[in-house]
Amino acid sequence: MQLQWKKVPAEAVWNQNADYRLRQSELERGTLAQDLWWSALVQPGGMTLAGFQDMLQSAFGGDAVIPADDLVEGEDESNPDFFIKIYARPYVLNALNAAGNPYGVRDLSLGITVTDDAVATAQDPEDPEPGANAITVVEEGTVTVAVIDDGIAFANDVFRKGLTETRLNAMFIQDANGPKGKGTGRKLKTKEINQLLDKHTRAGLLDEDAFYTDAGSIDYASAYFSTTMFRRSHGTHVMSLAAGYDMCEGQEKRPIIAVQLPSQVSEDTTGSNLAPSLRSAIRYILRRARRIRVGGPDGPVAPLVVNFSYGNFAGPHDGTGIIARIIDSELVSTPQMQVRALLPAANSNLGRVHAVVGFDAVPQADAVTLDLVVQPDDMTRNFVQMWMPWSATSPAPDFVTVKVTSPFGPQSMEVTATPGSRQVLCNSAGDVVAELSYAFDPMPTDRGFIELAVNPTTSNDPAIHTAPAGRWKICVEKGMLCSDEVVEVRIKRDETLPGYRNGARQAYFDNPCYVRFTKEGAPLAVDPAGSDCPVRRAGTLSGFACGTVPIVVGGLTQSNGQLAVYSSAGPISKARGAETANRAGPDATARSDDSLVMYGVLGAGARSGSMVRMNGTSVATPLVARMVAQGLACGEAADRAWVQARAGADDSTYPPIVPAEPFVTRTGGGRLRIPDPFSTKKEADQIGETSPVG
Amino acid sequence: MSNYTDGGPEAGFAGFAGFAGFAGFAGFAGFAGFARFAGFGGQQSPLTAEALITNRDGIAGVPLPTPFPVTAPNPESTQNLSRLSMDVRAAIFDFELASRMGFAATPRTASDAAVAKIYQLETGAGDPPTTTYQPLITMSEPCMDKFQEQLSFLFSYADLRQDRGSEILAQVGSPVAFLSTIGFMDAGRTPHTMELLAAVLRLARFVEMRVKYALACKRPIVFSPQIQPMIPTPTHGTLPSGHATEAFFLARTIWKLMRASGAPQYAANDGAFGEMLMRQAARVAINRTVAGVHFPVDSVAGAILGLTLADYLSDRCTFETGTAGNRSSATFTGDNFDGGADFNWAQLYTACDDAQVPTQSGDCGTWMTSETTATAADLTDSPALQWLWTKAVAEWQDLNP
Repeated sequence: MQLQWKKVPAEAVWNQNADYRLRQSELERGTLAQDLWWSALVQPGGMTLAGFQDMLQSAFGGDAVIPADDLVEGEDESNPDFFIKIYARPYVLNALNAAGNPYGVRDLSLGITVTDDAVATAQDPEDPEPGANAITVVEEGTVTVAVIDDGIAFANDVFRKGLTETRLNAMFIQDANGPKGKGTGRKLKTKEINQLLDKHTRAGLLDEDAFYTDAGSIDYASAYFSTTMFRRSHGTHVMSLAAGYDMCEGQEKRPIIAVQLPSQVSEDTTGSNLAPSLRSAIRYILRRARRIRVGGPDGPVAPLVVNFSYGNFAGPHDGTGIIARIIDSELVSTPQMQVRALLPAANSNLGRVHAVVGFDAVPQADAVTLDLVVQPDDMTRNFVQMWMPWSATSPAPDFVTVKVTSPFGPQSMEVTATPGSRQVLCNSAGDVVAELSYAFDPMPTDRGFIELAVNPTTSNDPAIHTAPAGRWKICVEKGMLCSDEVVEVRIKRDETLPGYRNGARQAYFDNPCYVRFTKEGAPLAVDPAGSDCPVRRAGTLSGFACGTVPIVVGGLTQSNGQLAVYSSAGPISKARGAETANRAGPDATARSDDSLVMYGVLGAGARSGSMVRMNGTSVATPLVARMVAQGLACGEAADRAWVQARAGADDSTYPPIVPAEPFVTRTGGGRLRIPDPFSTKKEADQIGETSPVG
Repeated sequence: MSNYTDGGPEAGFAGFAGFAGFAGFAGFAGFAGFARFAGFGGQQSPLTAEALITNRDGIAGVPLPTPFPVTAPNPESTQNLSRLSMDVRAAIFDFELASRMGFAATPRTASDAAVAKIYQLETGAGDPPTTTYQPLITMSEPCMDKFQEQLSFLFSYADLRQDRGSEILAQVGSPVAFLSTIGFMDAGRTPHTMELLAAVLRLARFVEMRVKYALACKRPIVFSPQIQPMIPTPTHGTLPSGHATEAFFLARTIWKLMRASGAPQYAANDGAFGEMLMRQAARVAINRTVAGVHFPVDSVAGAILGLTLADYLSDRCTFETGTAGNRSSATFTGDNFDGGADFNWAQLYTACDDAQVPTQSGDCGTWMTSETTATAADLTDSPALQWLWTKAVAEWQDLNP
């Protein structure tokens, strides 16, 4: 393959990722791309909702709509985190994303493609509930548990309190085909779920495939894909750990609100398209949760615990990423309603997806080279972000210069940390197969990054021009970067999740200085002391989990108390102007594997009565969510500090962590001791899940 | 039974090798072992024959003068059945079942779909017996557009291959091992049930292949190069699904044995045992769609065929001349089936009362009917099948203390 780098200056845009994805869509789909609808969150730059709506209407007519479901009454329109969700055509999004555009928009986060039906019905009001149904009255000690996830088999018996009685207050399947049309979503409330349970139960047995087909969770007749169809699904397992109880218990005090994200979102592990769907999910949960009242229709709102077991690898990692901002602004406790949010630390500790480039080493080097392995047979794109530090000066200094060499050459010309700097790699036909460009993430991030975007290394679609697999060299040369400053380099997550078939394969750094194993041959879970290797385990914490609100949970192996080697570690980066970073690591770690041989934790399979194992910080998180709900029910604060303190207290019951340091960046407050809710009665009795937590 | 050497996918039945095969699961291996122990299993080895020759030369001596007293045989008596080897009995049962069937087909015309009809032959006293052909199954092909429409199911269900792979491979042959997880069957415990189920599998194949041949519906692999089935596509037609026919025929037969046994667990909980047997049969049928070798509509047609054959078989096994008998029949009209509809066995049958649903319609018309009527009392019955059925039912009854 004859390749050639070319200098093609970049347009100034607010959001580089949105711009890149819209351009790729057009390259792949040609003129058909113009007919698509996308979801997006836009920051209207000081405009009111009404003003923004008028602007959209006059500038773009029917080519942009504001979905009613996502609006919140009385929202503070002056808040810098005030984002409006829209469905719009690509040309509208490009116009709003242009830096300094005349429409007033100051930032944009691109979501997924949505159906024509979803757009056509976007402004229909949600089905109003008759007054008597609007409020659910619950007993003292009730805590609502909300789960945002993928493939939630919500009819599983662990989410029922009787054969045909659900414990769900509501289920929102965001991309299901519904009564309003294709891809318009399904919102099922308790009564509707119970009717479906009743309809599909015979001889004491629920016909679950028929139930899910009727509910819109599964649709074998169309291309609609959901992991609910499988034996093991992430959402079912996670939700069972957060709020699953034996059906016979008749658990009344943990009503559940569940939102199943679109498969298009879950499939893309980069997390780039998540924001609009996540915000709608959270808003739906809050709307439903406010109707769950303790003691009477006018009683206080039951506390809410939200579990979101998703993670990513990239982004600014300083709490200003769009997902962190959404969580920090939406899931905050108010005097009217206690809210707790939990996120996993992520599983990328040994993923070799993070590097730190600085030039303070002795002897001082002027350049650092990162070896990036882009895997063959990778059907999805790979991205490497090099985040500059924040600078008070504007424009920011030209911190570093980057040159990239593709596996068999050639090397690019330099891309600098200055607006518009871009190199593209073209094949012999002139098609772009990789880009290296500088972008500036506007306020509140206010930091620039240089991103390498590499096309898939294989494709069945002739419109996708493949890039070479192999060892790419990224050479970072010192510019105006100070000796106490670093460039944080992050490879975007790019995995094929179980059940999905997108063919993603994770790229990773393969610098020879990175020591993978201890001398005994075990995976080395910490960066060796004194190592000057730029590739690091420290700082791999999930990009979603960098805000101040969420309780962030890492994983441990229960039998020996050692941290799971995959459990991602802090610290994160300092935000604009901040003295210190938001967080040093997770808040606590909890069971993510029962033992070294019994990997994972038992949780519900997708069909009633089945138990399956799953591991990762995704399963440790809902165990802590369950504990937090229990704490709130008992009147405890059950917030970040409370979880950290409990973890600190529990930690002494385990043998010391090996190695003992670093501690806080890996485990936060310490190691929690949480029983497996589905283990034998003996273990549950020993630890006493039902006893007051404190 | 070694004449069944096909070994094709519906091969659970293929050969009483089949018996060993399906029994391998259930531990029927004992039977094969038994035969070997006796030294007369199948063909005799030359070594044994040679030994027997020299052995006789050694000890027989001169012929004895007196004839030995031997009583006359007992003709046309079920008493003989227990002295026959299983493959001999199998031939008798097959004759009793298959000889009472007829077939007719009408080919496709410009205006009408191809139709296959299976009749049940009712015979009365006399020599030759009086005969009446009564309808059993009337099945017509769906038009090509329906299959085209059904193709989207193949793509969606293909996502399940990673989940169902081992089941699909284990179910390429007979599904008896899977049904054995619900009905307690073992060669030592329920030998006659297993013998009956072997007859079920043979009859299913006998009928389904004739119907498939008549309708000659094309397999999914022909409609798209991207189905890429995970097992070889059988050469016979796609509709009705042989696996659905066999699985539902077996499941309903086991359920009838359970019900006839009077054991209390089978009557409890609205027929939960029957419900589970049907769920199992449906899983087997759907797995063939997952594998990429069947459309959902094939399973619909196969399930109707299998369920109806189960009634035919049990009626044939239980009818006694001089009593009131039942005659069941069903129709499947392919062109009236909604191409966008999936297979759902609950539309066809209710387990709690062991009854086929009388009629099912969709947007395109009535696609299924079924009925059960009374027969005349003077029809001939089948003592051989009665013998087998009674012994099989007894294996499900509670033992008296």
